[in-house]
Amino acid sequence: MQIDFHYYATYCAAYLAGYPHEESLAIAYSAQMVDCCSETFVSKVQAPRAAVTTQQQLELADTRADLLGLQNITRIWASFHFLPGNLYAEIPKRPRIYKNKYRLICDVNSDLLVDTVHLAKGKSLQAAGIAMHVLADTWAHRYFAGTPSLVINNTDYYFFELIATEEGETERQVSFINNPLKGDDIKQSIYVNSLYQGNENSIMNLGHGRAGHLPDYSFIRYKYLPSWGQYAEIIKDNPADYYSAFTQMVYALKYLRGITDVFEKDTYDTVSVAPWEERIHEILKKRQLDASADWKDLGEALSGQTIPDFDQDQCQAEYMHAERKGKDGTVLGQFILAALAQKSMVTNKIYKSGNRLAGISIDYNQHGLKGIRDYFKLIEEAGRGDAHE
Amino acid sequence: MSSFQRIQNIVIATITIVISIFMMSLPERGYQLAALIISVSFTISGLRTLIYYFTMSRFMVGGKRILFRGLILLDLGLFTSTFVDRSKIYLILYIVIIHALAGAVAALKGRQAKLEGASSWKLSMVYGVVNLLMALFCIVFIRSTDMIVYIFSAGLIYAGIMRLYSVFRRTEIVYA
Repeated sequence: MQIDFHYYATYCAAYLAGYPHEESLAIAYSAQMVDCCSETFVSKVQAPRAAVTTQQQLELADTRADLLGLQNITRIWASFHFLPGNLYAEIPKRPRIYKNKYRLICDVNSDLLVDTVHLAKGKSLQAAGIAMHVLADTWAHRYFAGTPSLVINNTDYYFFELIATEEGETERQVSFINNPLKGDDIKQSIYVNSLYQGNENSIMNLGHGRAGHLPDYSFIRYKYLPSWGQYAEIIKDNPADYYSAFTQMVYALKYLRGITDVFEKDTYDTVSVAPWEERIHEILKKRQLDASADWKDLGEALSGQTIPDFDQDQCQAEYMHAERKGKDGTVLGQFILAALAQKSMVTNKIYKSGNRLAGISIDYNQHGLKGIRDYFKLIEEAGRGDAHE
Repeated sequence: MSSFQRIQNIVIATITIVISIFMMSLPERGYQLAALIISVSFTISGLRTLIYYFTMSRFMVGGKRILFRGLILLDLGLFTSTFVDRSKIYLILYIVIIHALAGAVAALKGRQAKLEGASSWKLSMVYGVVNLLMALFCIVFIRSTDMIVYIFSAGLIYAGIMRLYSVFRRTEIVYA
């Protein structure tokens, strides 16, 4: 997903869930910020390096593909963009290393999604925004894994766009090109994807890189053969999936706001969204690369307020000029704490499932002060003693 | 990183650095050794690719491609091992491509970081420029065997040091 859904649609969902305008903006800002908080950004604002929630293309290209580099990539992408669907999934006659990657395939309505939403409960608006980013991405990125893997994430020539016409539905083979300087051409079904690399752990094989930006476009429907699927075809219906994502966000945000008491899997708030359903479907089905303007119009119609353009630097000065102890209280400070908590939780769940692709997680309660220093912030926040030695 | 992986990395890094220093101290012999290292690398890469095919990629859509790649790499490794004493041009090409690519990517990353106002741009830029200069030196000093061995060895020493650095880095994530 991209800014149209993570910022503008998240604003709409928050507003429909009962948050006032300003709070809806704060949630939407943090949801979009997940796609901006890169190594370069945290270096710029002098924030903890472990709080990184995404990696820019050049950062990825420059990442060492050694064990630690791969674990870092997996922590970032599995925690925030490709939440694993089932950490204990079984697939017969496969070696352990294959199973570990297979178990990181992203899917909707997982136990980890429930954990993600529960983690944000009672926390800041920034935590809610991060949870909404993760939730929404499970719908867009399902069937791909947030770790570099050729055997899981590769695609081949069998890739067709399903286009609705007046005569019915037609299929058009997708042409993938590797030139990132050229944009996607939706009229001709020509899309940019990552270069084929036969190396299992090449960063070209991370997430949906081999399928280009198709999973991120709300209008598109396509069918293809996923690398892991034993030649079983998958039909991906983004307009339907994105609508589910939207209604699930409203439901989750109502839980976070305290309007409902429980958050359960596979539950959607279609009732609150019903008056706007037709317009939302219209936006989701419109063939366009960026639906920001349409979502913005909808958001402004809902609240009667102006939604400002997203500016990733808007909270930077407050954070940078705050005293050391006061940084955690700023908007960016709250975002960083929530990001660390999410990454820590997902890494711990992956590690406890016997899978070390995201690295090692140590339980503070059992082992005390060890590990990456940045995460001690979480212990400080939980009030369990002075984490800094 | 497990204890076994740490020990494994320390051993590999130490061997890499020792061999590099040996090559730098005896460039004439070092040149043949460098060519042999590349040849062995191809062979090992071919074998690893074949193992990868039989354990992983045979299950994936279009996995046969990996089998062919493994066979070609293995063949290339065995083939190049037969003329390690005459393969100077391959060694130069290899070094130039490796350093030029690494340099270009790091320089671009540094440029992007600078545009975004991040302080990390200097390190990336220096790393990129040094790599690009090394690639350039290889071309300028194409007739000097010593220079090529020095550059190749410097690359190996850097890889060894980075491996040691990763062994001693804190890696565990704290779960509160």
